[in-house]
Amino acid sequence: MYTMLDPMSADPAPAAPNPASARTPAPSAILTASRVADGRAVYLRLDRVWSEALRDAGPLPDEASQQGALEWARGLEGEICDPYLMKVRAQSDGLEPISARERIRALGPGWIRQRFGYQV
Amino acid sequence: MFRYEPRDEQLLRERASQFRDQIQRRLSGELTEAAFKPLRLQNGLYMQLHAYMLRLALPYGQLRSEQLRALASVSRRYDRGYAHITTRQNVQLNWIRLEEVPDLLEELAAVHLHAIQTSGNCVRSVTTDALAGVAPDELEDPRPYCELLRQWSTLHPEFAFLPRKFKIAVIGASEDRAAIAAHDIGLRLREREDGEIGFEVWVGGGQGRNPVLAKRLREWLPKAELLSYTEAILRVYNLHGRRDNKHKARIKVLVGALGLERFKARVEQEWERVRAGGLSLREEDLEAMRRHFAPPAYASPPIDSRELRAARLSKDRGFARWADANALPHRMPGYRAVVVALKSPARPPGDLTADQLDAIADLADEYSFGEARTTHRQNLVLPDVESWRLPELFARLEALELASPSHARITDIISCPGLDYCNLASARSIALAEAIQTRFAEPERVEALGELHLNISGCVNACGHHHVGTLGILGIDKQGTEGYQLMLGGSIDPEPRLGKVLGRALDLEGLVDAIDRVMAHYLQVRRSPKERFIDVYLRVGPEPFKEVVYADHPPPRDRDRQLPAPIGRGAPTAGG
Repeated sequence: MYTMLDPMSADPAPAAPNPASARTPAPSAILTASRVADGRAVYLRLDRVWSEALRDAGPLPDEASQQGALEWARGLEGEICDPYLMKVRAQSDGLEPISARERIRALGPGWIRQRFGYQV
Repeated sequence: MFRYEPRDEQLLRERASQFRDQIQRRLSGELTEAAFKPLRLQNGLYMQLHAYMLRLALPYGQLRSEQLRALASVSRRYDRGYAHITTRQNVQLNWIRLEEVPDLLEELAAVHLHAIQTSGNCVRSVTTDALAGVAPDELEDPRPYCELLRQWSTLHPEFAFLPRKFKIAVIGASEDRAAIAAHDIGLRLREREDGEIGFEVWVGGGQGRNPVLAKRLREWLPKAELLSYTEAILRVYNLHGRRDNKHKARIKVLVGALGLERFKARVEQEWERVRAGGLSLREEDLEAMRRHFAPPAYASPPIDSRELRAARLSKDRGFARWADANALPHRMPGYRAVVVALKSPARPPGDLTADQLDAIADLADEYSFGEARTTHRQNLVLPDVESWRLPELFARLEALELASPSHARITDIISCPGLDYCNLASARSIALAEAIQTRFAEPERVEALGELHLNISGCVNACGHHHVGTLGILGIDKQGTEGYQLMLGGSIDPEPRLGKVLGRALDLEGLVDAIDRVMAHYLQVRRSPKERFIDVYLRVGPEPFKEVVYADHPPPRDRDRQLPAPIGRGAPTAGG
């Protein structure tokens, strides 16, 4: 279950710890894409399963692992599209996207829908 | 209104069927995203930040009540129970599942709605004045010409792959309520000295990162040559427009590169060839099209508006304020065109729920000959309402939370979807719109500020028309955080003008504060309530406003480590 971060908070709500990120103190990128069926943002886990939750994403610490994952994802036509590497930084409580765009995207559809009741 | 013939309905059903096959092949992986993307775009389907978005065409913004009900139905069944009106009078659905798109399109085809040419590098849905046919300042109803352009441009094989998208707007009134100066081609019906009516042709307008106001290409064009001349312009653009750089591919760049005179010479030369090809319209064709837009059966003799006047004089200040702002003059005595405001802190500008769509369909049937229109400023219009019925219509709209007296006020915000929805955006627009709506929630204050156009774009693509807002706001990405630039002095009518950036970008709260200060200063320095904000700005220039915004305003907070301000935290939510 994805715990939605509060993007407004100066101190974002902590995400569940990611064991992978704990093992890798300074991840520079993760792989993300859009799901073909509904367009939902998804993130690649270390076991190469796609998750809707950013906190599940597996960090790709070096150029070789990043390019390898990207090439693999490009072959998944029908499941996901437009895969790309996304810059993140390690926080004590997990990974955090560097750009505002990716922070909002990571919050998922609930981000806007929770605000306007009729969209739920 | 124009109604499709059986062959048009068949085309829409076939189109949905073709798209069903393409989607199945996409879902199976047979079609790659690269191969599928141009196909989905030709059917108005975008991939946005969180989901697919489907843009539906509402040519020149016209809606019959049955179409409103169909939109309500599909938004309930296939989306999340609401729809969004765009600045080009179309409708967007924001939470679409790919496999359900063909069913949705088949359902809409039954009421002559579709998504053809709402995306891609083609001639997009034609727009016009939301008061077409009813405005007292109108020379002639532009809708028959919009429909001719729609028929001519729909699936036109030569113009299916233009260098870039192409937008046409047509008006027939003295006031430009369709922003023709911001279009690739703008057409204005005007009368020649000998009394004959034709088109003034404007070309090369556009916003985006390099905004350009359209230039007058021809002072007068015979109506019969509407299609032949438009085809000549499109052909010159198609042949000579740049295809090597997406950001330099719009016709405004070609007009700028050639210069207006050389561009015109090429168009006129091409036009001579096109005219010989039989595209000139015969008077009987024009007359036949005009009959589709014949006025409804207005009450005759017109019922006068004694009850409206009585209500205005009464203590019902809420009604009076709404009627002053939203019940617009009509060419028929005893009638008004009513703006149904889709603006409040409880909704993104332009949103309305399925229940509201159904209710407006009922109101259209009861009060306005079964017709409604979408507007450039992301509202709806009931075009033919008898004045004496305004009080009861106001009460009905109030119950629907659609009676904000906001037309042409600071709260009548144009806003792109911004970073809450859009894949291209740099900053959120809706959150800012909501914060401004909340700050300016007091109706007396809004009324005192008078006529204003506040337009917000979440990035340089300028879908929110910020360049031509009296107050224009551009969202930017400042090294991973959202920032907002305030622009002042933009205008569409009576004289198109691009606004100028006032100063450095601010954060969301800072921008709302800045608008507050600008408005307070305006109220202080205006010579009378009749002197509008734009008048004051043109009189005193930007400096006094710059001073009140920046003099003692702290620099933007370091938000590098935090995400942006709340989407209206604490404000009420809409029901449902």
